Amino acid sequence: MSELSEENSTPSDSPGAILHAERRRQKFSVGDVSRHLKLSVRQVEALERDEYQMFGGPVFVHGFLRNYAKLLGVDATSLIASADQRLATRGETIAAEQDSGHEEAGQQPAGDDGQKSVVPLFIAAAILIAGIAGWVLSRDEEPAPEEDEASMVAQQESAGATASSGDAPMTEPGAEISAEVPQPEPAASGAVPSTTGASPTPVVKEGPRSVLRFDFFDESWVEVTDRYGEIIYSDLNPPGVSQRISGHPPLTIVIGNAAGTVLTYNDEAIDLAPYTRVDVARLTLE
Amino acid sequence: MFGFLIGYFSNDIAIDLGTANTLIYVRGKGIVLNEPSVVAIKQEGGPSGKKTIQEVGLAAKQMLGRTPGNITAIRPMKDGVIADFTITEQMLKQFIKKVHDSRFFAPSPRIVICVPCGSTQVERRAIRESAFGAGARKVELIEEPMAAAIGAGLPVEEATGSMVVDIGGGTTEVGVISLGGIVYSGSVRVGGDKFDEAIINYIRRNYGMLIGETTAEEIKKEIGSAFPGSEVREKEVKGRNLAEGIPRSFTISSNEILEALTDPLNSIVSAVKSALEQTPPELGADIAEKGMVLTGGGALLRDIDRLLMEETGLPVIVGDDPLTCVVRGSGLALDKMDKLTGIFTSD
Repeated sequence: MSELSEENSTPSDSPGAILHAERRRQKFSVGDVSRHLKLSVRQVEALERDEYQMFGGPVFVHGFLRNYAKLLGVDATSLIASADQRLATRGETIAAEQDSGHEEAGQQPAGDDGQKSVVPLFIAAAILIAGIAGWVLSRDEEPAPEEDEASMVAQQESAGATASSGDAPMTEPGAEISAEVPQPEPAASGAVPSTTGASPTPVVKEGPRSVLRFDFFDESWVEVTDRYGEIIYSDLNPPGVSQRISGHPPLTIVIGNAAGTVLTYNDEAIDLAPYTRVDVARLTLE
Repeated sequence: MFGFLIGYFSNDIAIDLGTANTLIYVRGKGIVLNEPSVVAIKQEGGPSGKKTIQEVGLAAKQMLGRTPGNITAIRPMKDGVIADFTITEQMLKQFIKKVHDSRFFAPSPRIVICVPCGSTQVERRAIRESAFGAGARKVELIEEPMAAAIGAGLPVEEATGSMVVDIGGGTTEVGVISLGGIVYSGSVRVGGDKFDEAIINYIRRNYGMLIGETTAEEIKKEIGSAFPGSEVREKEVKGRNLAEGIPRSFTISSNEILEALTDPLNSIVSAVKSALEQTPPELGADIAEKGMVLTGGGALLRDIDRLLMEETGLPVIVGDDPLTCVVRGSGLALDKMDKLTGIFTSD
C-alpha cells in the first residue's frame, strides 16, 4: 500500500486495496490480471497502489479500474468514485480535469450560464450608455430654436391668391418675416403654394445673406440648402408663381424643372443650362 | 464589430446528427436533446397529396413499423450520412426549434455538426446545407473521431498517440489523434444498424421468423454479446412465422446472437487492425501503453471491449457515458470554436 493511501485512508477502503484483496481472494496473480486486461504488470501494480499519475488521464484510470473490477466481479462504480475522491483530496489534477471537462461538455445543469462571461454585457451596456450620452449632448449643442428660421423668407406672392383667400402671410405662425419682403407679382394661377417646405425650426445663423428669386413658368419642385446643410426651402411650385428666398451662402439648389424656372441670385440672372441634366438643375451659388 | 455581441446573445449549438440518435448540446446548458433520428410523415389526400411532419424523435420512433397507410415513419439518416435531404432538414428544424430559445433578440445559432470521416464532400455539403436550411448562422463540421476523442477526455492536444473507436448507428469511426490533429482515420459503414440487420437475417434464416427493427434492437440491447462469456442469457421473442404467416414466440440465446453478429463485428475488428497497421510506430507505442477508447452506442454491446482486446492484444476501455461522447466533444469544440479552428474540417 502506498504511503499516501495510508495517510488518507485505511488500506482496506482504497480502490487499489479492494482490488488487491479481491485478486488474492480469487487466487489470481498479477501476471494473470496483466494477461487478461492486456496491461503491463507495472500498470496492474500501479492500480493496486492507487498510483494514477502514469495513466495519462482520468479516462484511462476509469477504464482500467472498470475493466479490473469487471474481471474480479467487483462493483466498478464505487471504485471509480472512490478513486476520484482520493485524487481530489491528494490535489492531483485528474479529477479536476474530468470535472472541468464534464462541466464544459454538457454536465452543467440546465439554465446555468456560467460559461458566458459578463464582460461582453458590460461592454454592450457601456456602448449603449455612450451612445445615449452622445445623442443627448449633440442635442444640447444645437442652437435653441429661434425665430430666425422665418428670416429665410420662403414667401410666395400670388396676387390672385392673396386676393381670393385673404391668407396673405404664408409663413408659419410666429415666424418672423425678413425685411426682404417679395414684391407681389401677378399670377396666372390662383393656386396658393405652401411654404411649409421650409423647416419650421428657426435656427440662429450669422453672416451675410444672399437672396434667391425663382420665377416659375411651369410647375417645378425646388429645394434650397444653406451653408449649414439645412434645407431652407423645399416645395412644389405651380406656374406663374415667384419665390424669394434668402439664406446663408453657399446655397445648394436643386430645381426639378429647370426649363420652366428662371433663377435670379442677388439680382443677377443665372443661366441654368450648364447645370441641367435631364430637366433637373443642380448648382451651388457662393 | 458586433460579432461578439451576436455570439453572446445566440445560443450556439453542437449536434451529433447520428443515424440512430440525434443529440444536441447548447452552449452553457449542456445536452438538452437526445432523441431518435426518426421522422413520421403523414400523407394527406392520396398519393399525390401534401406531406406533413406528424412526429419527430421518440414519438416517431414508437411509430416505426406500426404506421397506417397514410403515415410513414422513416429514418432520414443512413450509414452516417443523409439519405433524405428534405426530411433531414425538417427534422433538424424541429429539433433546433425544441432547444433554441425564440427570444426576440436571439440571433440564429452557430452550429457545430459531426460528420463521419469517411463521408464524401457531397455528403458533407448536404449536411452543411441541411443545417443552414434549419436556420444556422454559421456551420462548422467536425469529424466524428475527433469529437469522440475530445468528448471521451483523451489528451488530444498532447504529443502522444490516442486511439478512439466510435461505434455509432451507421458507421464505425477509428481515429488516431496526436497534437490536436487526426493522424489516421478510417470509417466502415458498419454500426448498430448492421447489428440489427444481422439479427433479423439470422432469425429469419434459422427460425423462419420475421421480426422488426425495433425487436432486433431490443434483442441486441438485452442479450447481445460480442465475445463468448460464461453466462448465457436468453430472451423470448415474438415475430411472424414466415411459413404459417401467424405471430409466434420463440426463445433465443446470447450465443446465437453472438453468432449472428460475427460478420459486422469482424468488419469492426478489421477496421481497428487496419488503423493499427497504418499508425506510425511512435504513436503505436503510446497506444500499446494506454490502449484504445470505445465510444458510441455500439460500445455498450456486451464484451465488445473484450473482443477487441483479444483480437489486438491491447488494452481497450469504454469511455465514460459513451453514447454522449461525440456530442460532448462537439460541445467542447463549440465552446472553444474561436481558438480551435484547426479541428474543424474545411470541406
